[in-house]
Amino acid sequence: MATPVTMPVLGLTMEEGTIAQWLKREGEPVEKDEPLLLVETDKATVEVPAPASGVLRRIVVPPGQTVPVKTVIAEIAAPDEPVAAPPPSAPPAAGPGGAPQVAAPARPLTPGPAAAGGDGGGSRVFVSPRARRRARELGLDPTTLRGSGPRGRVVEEDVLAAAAVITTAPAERVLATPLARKLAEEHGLDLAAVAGSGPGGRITQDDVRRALEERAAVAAPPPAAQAPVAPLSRLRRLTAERMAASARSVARVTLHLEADFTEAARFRQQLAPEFARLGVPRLPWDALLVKAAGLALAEHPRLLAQWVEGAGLRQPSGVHVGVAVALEPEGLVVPVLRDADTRSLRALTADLLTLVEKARAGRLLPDEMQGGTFTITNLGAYRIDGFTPIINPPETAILGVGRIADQPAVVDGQLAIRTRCTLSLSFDHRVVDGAPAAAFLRRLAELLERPYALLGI
Amino acid sequence: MAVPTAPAAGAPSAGGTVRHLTYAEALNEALREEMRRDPSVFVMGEDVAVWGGGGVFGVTRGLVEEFGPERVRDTPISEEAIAAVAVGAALTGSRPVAEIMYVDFMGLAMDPIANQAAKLRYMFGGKARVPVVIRAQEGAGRGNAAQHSQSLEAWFCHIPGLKVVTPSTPYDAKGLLKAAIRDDNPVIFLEHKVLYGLRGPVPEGEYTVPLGVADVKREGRHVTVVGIHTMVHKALQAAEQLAAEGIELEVIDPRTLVPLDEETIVNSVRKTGRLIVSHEAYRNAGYGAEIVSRVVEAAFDYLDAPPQRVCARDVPVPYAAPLEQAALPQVADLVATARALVRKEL
Repeated sequence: MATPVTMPVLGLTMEEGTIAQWLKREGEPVEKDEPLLLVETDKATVEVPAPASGVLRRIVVPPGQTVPVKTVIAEIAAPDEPVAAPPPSAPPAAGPGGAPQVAAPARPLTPGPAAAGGDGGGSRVFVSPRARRRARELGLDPTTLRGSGPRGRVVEEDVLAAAAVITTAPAERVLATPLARKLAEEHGLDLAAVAGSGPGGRITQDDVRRALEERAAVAAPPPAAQAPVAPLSRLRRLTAERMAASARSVARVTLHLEADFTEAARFRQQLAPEFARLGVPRLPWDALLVKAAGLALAEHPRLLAQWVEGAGLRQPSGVHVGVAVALEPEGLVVPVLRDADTRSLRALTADLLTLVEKARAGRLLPDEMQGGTFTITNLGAYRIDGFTPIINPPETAILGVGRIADQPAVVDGQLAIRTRCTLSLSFDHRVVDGAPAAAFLRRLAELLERPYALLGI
Repeated sequence: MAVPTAPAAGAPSAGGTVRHLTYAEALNEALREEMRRDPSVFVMGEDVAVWGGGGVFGVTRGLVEEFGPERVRDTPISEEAIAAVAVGAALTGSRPVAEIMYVDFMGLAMDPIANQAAKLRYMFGGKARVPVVIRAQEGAGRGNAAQHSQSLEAWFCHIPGLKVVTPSTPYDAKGLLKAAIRDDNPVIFLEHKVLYGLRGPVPEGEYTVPLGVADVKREGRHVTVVGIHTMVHKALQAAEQLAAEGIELEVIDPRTLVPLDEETIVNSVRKTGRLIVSHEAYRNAGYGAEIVSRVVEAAFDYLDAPPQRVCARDVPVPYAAPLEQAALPQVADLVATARALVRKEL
């Protein structure tokens, strides 16, 4: 049952009062007689205590407003009443703790870290230890997040959600001077699209001004009766920014190689029933490609090295291969298969099937999309033969896989029907030169043309 | 409804054929095998040789016929005498397995257990050994009322020098009792009266379950539930119900409370971030609080919600069946608490 908070009568002659400040926020627990708000009368500013214990459910009158005495200015609800938007589920029948007390101790029903820590300041953000640890790992400040737990507690999921937003944005933090940042913000300019000329690639005020001029020049053509512009979804915008940033900054070269998959097709056909018997229902081509890429990358680690602007090259420690998955109606996610060089084809296949299914259901965890060091993107299903994929930063290379189909080919001087596939490797020429990249692609093709090594030798 | 009907999670195979024995039969087999194996093992307690040679719950049934009254000894109704004689026999080279009919009567046997058995090896610089097993049964659910229904494992866990064992399945009961008998230290072996009729797989042939190794009875990602005795089975039922909602419980049976397999529990909480401890013992100062403390000390940074205790209410166990059930932690309590943890209501 809610208790109304009314504008108190603070003196015999008082007829109205002004809310100076609320000392508690909506949703915060309050104890009876704890200072709740400050009221200004024509004589003084007076601290008003809470008339009941519970949760400050609703503030009716905001600070600065003047209302007559006895007007309802807020509501306090009992702690077990749903606050604001009640959770959709029925609350646990047994109450907090699950094991209700028969001999109820003389103790309020609001134990727990939040209530215990109440210092009257009312601004502390509660963060679960697990969330705090995760935030530390990810370099986030958890107190800036909005908590979804009880009394606004920040839990691990909140941190991961925040991290997912950040990591789907350009992978490396954009370095910029505070002034450049402010300027960009004022003009709605995305700093990820600006090349920095300052120390360590830092974006300076001048870089922003130059970018703004360029933008003005491009945007100059008069708007002649154009169709309306629809705003972008968040995912579209992040993808767009990321792709554009990659295209702008990476010295991309793409190599094409037509490989013979005849043996691999036979291999796959023979292996699939064995996998099915062991609980792996399908053996997609992508699984073979992931394994082959893993083995070839282990032999050519230079393709894994990552460009670190202004600093040098970073050599990641693992071969983690991402597989691009298109989502309906639109969007692109890249779940990552870890240790593609050392794990078995069967383990990788099982993981791939699970991750793709989760990706399509929109249930991938941020962890499952992070840490990739190479990406495979397959457009074969759309009858595409070859293409020039954009590199997924901070990675250095990406493999585009074309249509796998029977084609006429010359084998030992004879025309034969062979299963062929064009492999397209885009790489960052800043990191690796053409010959070593080509050697990697040739090795990858060899592994797929003589696929038995994929079983581990 | 307190009698669990579903067999517990899969017992590891130990070679030989797997039969389905009751918990009482499994214990009986453990005693029989150890008595055949080692002539210094003997059994004593109230009525262990009468009532068809079974004790009140039939655990010692048939032993007097095979091993004779010297090794299966009925005693007077004196818990202090039983415990004191057993400790003395252990000090002089036997391996007694003494039965105290109800754990509730242990108050009478406390001095020989807590002040003698637990201390002597230490006080004699390791030269004295006290290889005694004191068996008793505890727990509610049979309408045995306040003086015959308690779960008092915490009393013994508090005393350094005692090992405390609480099996929840026939497989574990047999393997743990054999390990307890072979242990050179005093072991308090606490059975559960409602579990005696529970059937479960027990392989033919020799095996033991080492003391101090927990068993993950079911794996899950969201909430770790550490249950003792019947609460293991209730937690498995809760896990089944919650699985339909996509909430996965990881159910751990510590099997021995002292020594406690802290590593298994802590690793599980590192994974799930949420912990429920559950026992039929009173919530206040129960062993669950110790488990919570250990987890908080070892894995504070992995907790995403306050650990919860789903335990018996702090009242004498009622006689009336509906009240008795109301005082005990139930599947619904576990379900509600786990749900509240996962939905971030706690």
